Amino acid sequence: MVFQRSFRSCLVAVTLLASAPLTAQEQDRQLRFPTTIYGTPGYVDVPSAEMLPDGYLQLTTNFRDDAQFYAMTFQVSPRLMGSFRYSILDDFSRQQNGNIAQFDRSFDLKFGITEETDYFPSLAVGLQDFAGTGVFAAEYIVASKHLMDDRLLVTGGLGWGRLGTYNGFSNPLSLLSDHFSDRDMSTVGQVSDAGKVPIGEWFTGDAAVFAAASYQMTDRVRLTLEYSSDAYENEVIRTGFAHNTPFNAALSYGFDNGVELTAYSLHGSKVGFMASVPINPRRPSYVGGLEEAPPVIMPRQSAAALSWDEESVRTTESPLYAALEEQGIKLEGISVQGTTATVRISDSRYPAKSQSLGRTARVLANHLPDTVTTFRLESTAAGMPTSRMTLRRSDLEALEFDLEGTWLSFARADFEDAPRTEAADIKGTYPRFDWRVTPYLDPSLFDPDDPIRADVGIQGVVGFTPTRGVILSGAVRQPLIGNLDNSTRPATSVLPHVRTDAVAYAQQSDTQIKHLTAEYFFRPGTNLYGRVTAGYLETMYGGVSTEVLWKPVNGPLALGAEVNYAKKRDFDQLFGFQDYDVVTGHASAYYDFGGGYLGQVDVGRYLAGDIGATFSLDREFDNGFRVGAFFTLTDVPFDDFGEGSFDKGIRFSVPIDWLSGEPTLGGFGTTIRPVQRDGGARLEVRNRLYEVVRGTQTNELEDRWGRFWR
Amino acid sequence: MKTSTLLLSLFSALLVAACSSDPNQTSRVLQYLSGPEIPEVDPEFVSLVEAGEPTMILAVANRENAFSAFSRKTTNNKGEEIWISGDNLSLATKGGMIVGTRGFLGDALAIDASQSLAVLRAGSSGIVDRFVTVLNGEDHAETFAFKCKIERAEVWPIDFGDGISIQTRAYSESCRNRDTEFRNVYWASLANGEIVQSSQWIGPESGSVTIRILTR
Repeated sequence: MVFQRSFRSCLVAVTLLASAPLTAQEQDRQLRFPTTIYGTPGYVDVPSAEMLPDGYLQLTTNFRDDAQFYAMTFQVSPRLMGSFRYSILDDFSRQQNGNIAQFDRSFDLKFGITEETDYFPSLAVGLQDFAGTGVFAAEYIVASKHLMDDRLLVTGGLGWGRLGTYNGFSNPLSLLSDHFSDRDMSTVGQVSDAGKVPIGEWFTGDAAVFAAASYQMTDRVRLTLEYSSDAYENEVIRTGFAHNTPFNAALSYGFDNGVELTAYSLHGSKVGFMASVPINPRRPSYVGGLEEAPPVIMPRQSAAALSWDEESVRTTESPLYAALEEQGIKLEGISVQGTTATVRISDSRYPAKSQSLGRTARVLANHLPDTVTTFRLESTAAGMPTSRMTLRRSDLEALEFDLEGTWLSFARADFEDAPRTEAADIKGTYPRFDWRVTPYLDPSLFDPDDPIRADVGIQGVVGFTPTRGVILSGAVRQPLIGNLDNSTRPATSVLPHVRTDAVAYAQQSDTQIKHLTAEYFFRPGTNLYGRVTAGYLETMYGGVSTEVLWKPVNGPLALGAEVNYAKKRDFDQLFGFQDYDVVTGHASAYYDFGGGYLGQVDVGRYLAGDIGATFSLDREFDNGFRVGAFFTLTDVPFDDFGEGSFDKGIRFSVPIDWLSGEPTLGGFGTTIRPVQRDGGARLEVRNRLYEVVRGTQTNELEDRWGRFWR
Repeated sequence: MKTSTLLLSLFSALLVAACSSDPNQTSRVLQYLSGPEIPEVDPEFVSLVEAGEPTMILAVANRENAFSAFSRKTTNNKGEEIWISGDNLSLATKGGMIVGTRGFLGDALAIDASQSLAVLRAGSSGIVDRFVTVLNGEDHAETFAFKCKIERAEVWPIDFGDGISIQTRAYSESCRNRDTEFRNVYWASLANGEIVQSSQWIGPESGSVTIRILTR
């Protein structure tokens, strides 16, 4: 009743407070980044020497009546920038029965040589379309300087390739070698060249000068004028593009959220529009998350006050079990010896494992008798105990609202490997059964014939865990609508068709078994992890997969070995197999370089029996947002590999909690390859150990330790 | 392109029908699509209120209709009072100063406002330091330091409704560092010095919140 009366008056209070003199100002406006039609920092055709802020992604689209460009640019490091671009060029591709549209994928790299100072401009060197068909191939060295309180940005540069075609002059680099003198610009755009990296052509042929300036007229409006050294030679010949002037102009309007809209005129003959959206991976949609507050740490209580009894706490009926379950954490084991309590938990809720440790510690503090002074928390992954954190109860109580509490709680905790659990099992935690029915979206992006193909349908996933470490699971999909099976691209590979039959898998299936496996996860010893998976492993292969991983709990290095027997599944994706089988496997080295950079090298035998190595580098932000690139070189000759010469691609993954703010495992991601061929193709096994294990180990825990108190 | 739009629409429509053995998972999908639901009132909060624990009301200044009632859950041995709300937020105060939040966006993991509190308790004006540690977008704890100027202002009557009004001394605290500036305001009871109403900045995500003690 007290509350009800007060609650009425609180409305009065809020109204009163709203009129109280309050101010709060923050510099929360998103930065905006001018881009070229290619989606890289610059003007219209020509680049500037500017970089995006470290780690930023920028998505851009540019369209005019004869072309559409879609680009994603990522600032890999403060000095290195990479871009991926998908373009549709009307009438560009030369065919026997006339010109048709060309669907083109291309990649750029840009390296910042120096940063701008008070007196000197920034300098950068760049490669445009360095690994595609070469339609946009150009190289440049460029300098940019801000003037007039940063409102004016002026740029001058020297370009080669496309950027050396208007008013070009003899290449100054030919003073170094004759190699730089000539370049054949007439063969660009041939699909047979896709994916090759023509290092020998870089910085060759004529060079030309370009220049540009942009002026920020108001906070929102910017005017751009450029002198472009791109003569659009191929467009003029193939599509009838009219190159009337070397000058381009643009007018841009920016919004507070960083989005920018631009209208531009191109060489006096075309008008086009651009939109750009910057994404800061460091800033999720809901900073810190939307989940409920963690338990409040209460004063210690005696065993008698808590009705504490060690035997009854080892059941799923205990208040401790229920309190952890309320946090989405399963208590699997507990032992109390003297003043130390050891618990084993499994958590399928929090992407940041520091958060489940923090919540578990607080629940323990509220449910264990005052005589227990040390908590040891064993984390698990796929049933395996992976790490053990020891912390003092008094630290937990002292640091809850301490200014340095995050750092101190991490520094005062100890982390060790937990090859064997030291917490006695709680009865009734196994077996477990879980299931879900969800929609699925199976996209195939940037197909050379059609930019977006996808199937949409319903999938059912079931999992049964009879005992710790053993998981029986399956996923069945029923496509409802889609066009994955519309592709008419023939599988022409001279290698065994280990991946290029994707269209047949889409066309000849209805209800699909995506996987049906038995998995066993175990700890062979200190720092060692093991996995055996048998069954229908993935869409195209069934068989047996075995893996061992060595990964110290506190170290940046991990080494792994995997051996698989894989047999190709029938196109209907049901129970049958085809004749093709292969023994495939890799030795892998993983290294966490710090700063979010993760490197991986896998050496071994691929699905087509080819032998080689895959090199990967990912940048993972501490909140889980991840962008990476990889390439694979094997003993398959480039000509046998076919279009693209060798396997390579970029990949990204956005955690669900980054988007939704809710603590949910998993993420949305995809891998973009210029083209999927049969060389360098790896078996796709679920739950490879490195990714299963590392979230509960010290490096990852430290990265997100701010969540310990959340 | 039409096909892809159709596929995405169908995918979204099907998301609504998603279900799982984990009830949280199912409701989360629905919530994401339909916007935040109004949560059920935490029974623990209700029992605290019924037990006569102190209560207060909190409103987030920069969001319309964002207010919650809190009741005191405990006071720890450092003198920090920890309050929980019916909608699963929690807040820690010390002498009326907010020293931490949980469940707000970009939580204040900790706030050291001890110097400000000392000036208010002395009933004076002065220049003080204030430190705020927040959870940032990369899940790191990030500490901001501010220089603040506290000014003693006029006497201000606070109307608690039902004919109850108390006289308070108002204080304003203007804080700034290189990137951010904000202003806190406190109303301290003339009778016992207790801060009965205040507006306090808790971090760049949530901005300022206003709190008012309802019952003690």
